[in-house]
Amino acid sequence: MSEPRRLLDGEASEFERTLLGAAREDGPSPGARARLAASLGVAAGVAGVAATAGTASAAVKTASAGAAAVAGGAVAGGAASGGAALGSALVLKWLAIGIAGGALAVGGAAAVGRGSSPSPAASTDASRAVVAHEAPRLVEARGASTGTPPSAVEAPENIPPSAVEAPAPSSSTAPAAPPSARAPVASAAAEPSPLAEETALLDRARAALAAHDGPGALAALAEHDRRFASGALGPEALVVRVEALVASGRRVEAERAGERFLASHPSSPHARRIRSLLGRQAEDAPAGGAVEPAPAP
Amino acid sequence: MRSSVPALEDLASPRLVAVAGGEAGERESSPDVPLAPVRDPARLRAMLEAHYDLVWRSLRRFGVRAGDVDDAAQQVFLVAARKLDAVEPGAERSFLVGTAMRVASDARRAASRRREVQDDEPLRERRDSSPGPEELADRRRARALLDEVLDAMPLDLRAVFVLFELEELPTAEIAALVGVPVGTAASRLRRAREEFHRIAARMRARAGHAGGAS
Repeated sequence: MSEPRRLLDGEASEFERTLLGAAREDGPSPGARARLAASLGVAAGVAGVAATAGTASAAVKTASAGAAAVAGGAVAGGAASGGAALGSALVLKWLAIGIAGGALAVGGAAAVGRGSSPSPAASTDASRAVVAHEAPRLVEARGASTGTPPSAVEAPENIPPSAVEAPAPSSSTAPAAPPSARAPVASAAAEPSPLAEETALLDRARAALAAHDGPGALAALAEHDRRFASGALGPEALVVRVEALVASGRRVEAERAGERFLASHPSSPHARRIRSLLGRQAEDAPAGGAVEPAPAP
Repeated sequence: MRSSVPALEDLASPRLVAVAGGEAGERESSPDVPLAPVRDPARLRAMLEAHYDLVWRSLRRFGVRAGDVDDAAQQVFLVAARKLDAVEPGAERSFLVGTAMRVASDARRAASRRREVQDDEPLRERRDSSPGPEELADRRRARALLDEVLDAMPLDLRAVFVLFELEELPTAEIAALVGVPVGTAASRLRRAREEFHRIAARMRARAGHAGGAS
């Protein structure tokens, strides 16, 4: 069977184009994916960078107590890697905020939430106990808590940008951990993976963009390109760059960057977004009139 | 490929219903299921990197409310984490989108049970802060209209329409992940387009009468 043409490439009316085109601009908030990766426990490197020093060190204790799997598993249904605990602690902390003040004491987040530094033994015991009780219900509780103020559960801007730039935690809290549990955490903390750093840079660019800070976004992207010339997230960076250029009124540069990408990756999932940033916006959505119905045909 | 998509009964399981609706969650506490380590975290991470946005947008366009999409996306990847071994290499996207369809279906049911009205527009707009405020408002309105059109479609048509027209998946893949023959998918797409044209025309007429698009 031959593939039908897409409406947007063919017969859609102007009004329909506006409707369909609007969907293409939709997407998750910046950092949502990184948060999910952390909560799934598959963002080992990212977590190493993203965790605040306090959270990370607390999480190291958690990991050393063997509670990493609990913390990761509570949200993720998996993930026993040591690095997972870092991200999970961070995410669980937010979740806990949205659920109940008392539930704050989840995994490594407990120590941070209370601003105290209990002895490792005490903290691990507490973590373990609370995690055992609270963690399995987290997912369920989160589902139930979608009615709570979005700020509690969703608020990504409150944390990632500053958290991402937090210095890697000192490894001085790690020694108590058995080597098997400690190794991944320690290495993630001392030496964040390139992907993690790259992700952090992109998150910074997106956050700047979201704050209408085009130059800030472009600066982060320039740093990205300098340090990760052939990084894994090149296409993503380019999408953000095109968006930032468009937002800064640097249309020509936006088109040049976008066209170059489209030429080499015409069917990439990112190509559509770039087209929409460049082409659709210019042709189909005259400024200020995106939804005005066209004259009847 | 089809076999890797979770069967409906998986999604009707108390676990997912609990996640979606906040009910009957006790089974979620069963320690062994959520604690199983992901055997191949690198693969799950790669799936997340490659398809998170697609999953998110699909959920949204399948009718999950903006404020619930992050949670729904989490569910999709939780299912993926649990069933990673059953996902054939190369079929990751189909698996995720197929799962998203079912999660969306559950979430919609749960949402209609909950019926707490929440203003989800601010959340949905977060991504679009680069354009000026007027354009932004227009876009938001356009998206609200699109959702209205999609809401008027039955889910089987809606899914095919969204995946083909908005996510630009090939019809063969859509057919596989929906679990129907390609011919059926094609005819659903035809019907979905008719619906789309019809509803959009009606909407536009209405907007015309009102002197604006809203």
